[in-house]
Amino acid sequence: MKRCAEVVPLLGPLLDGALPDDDGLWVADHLRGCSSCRDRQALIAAQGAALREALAARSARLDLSGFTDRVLARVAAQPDHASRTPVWGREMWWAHKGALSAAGGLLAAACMALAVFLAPNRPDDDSGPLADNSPQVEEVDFGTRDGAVLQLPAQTTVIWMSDDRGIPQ
Amino acid sequence: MSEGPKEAGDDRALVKAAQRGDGQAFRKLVERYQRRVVQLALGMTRDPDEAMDIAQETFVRVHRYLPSFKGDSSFFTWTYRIAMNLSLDAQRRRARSERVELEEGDEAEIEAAMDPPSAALAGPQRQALNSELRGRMEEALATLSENHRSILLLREVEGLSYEELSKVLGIRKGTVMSRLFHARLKMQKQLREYLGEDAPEKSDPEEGE
Repeated sequence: MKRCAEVVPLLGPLLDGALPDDDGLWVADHLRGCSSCRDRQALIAAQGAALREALAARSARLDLSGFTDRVLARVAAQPDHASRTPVWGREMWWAHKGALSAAGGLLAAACMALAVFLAPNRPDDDSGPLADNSPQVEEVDFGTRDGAVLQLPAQTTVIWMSDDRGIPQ
Repeated sequence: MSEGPKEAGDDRALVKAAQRGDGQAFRKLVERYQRRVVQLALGMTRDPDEAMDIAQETFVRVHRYLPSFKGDSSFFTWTYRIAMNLSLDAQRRRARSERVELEEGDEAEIEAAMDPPSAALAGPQRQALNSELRGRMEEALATLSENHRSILLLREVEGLSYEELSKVLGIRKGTVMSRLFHARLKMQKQLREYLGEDAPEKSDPEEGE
């Protein structure tokens, strides 16, 4: 039979019906022979039930009459065009922010590279500084941010393509 | 309390109608989920007025974003996600202290979980004790970090599956399991403190073999 230490982290998932069948079998087998683990599991269940009852009792005391009407009134007060087009834009931004940032960054880098390449004072021969050192754009993972490095003969520019991911949401 | 197939099917029909501009369909969706959203916000904030504001704002945003809702997740999962984000935003605005938490691998906590539940918290006495526990539940919940509080509410109160928790909270299923484990332990620890229990003696780790 498995040790309690191996079983304890799986008691909750078993209770939640989230344990694969093969794990569920040996955890259930352990439970049959271990009263301490049965108590531990009962405690998880009792705690959940107490939390449910406590919040249900509290929210049941809240008066929700008129709630829907207040929501609908607020919805109606919002200009249609203002509520849809910008939201679509925001939604798109939040849904695809990484890809849009990356695309924007690469586009900006490409434009800069093109601008340098087509600049009027570009040397005619191949011996100019750009001929041997043509602009390079590389997508780089900086760890917490994505960015592109644009390398020109005289300078190196980093173009950020995403927000700092340092703070998890 | 996760939705059943019939409720999900009804939701889909209502969502489609609401997306076409059917106000009655949207009203039905609000009426169907208003109390559950208020309850979720109440668990997060403990403030009834703030919970009502958050719930109201949730449905305003649901309406606003509805045209772009493609149904990749269920309507209620999507709605809970909005409500949870608004609750977290509200809390951050109030600059409540946040706690750094360990997502996994906290050996000390796993060891603490080996403590056998006392007679007061488990066993046949637990039913009688539930009324006292209930009185302490919200208090104990408020001491948890945002991450622990939100996952406990969504699982224990709203009955979301691990898959749904993963979607609403934007975390991997493995993290769901780990975070829920630690959240439950911290809640137990709080309740033991409220009940004036000292840390119980460690059980024999070989027990049950």
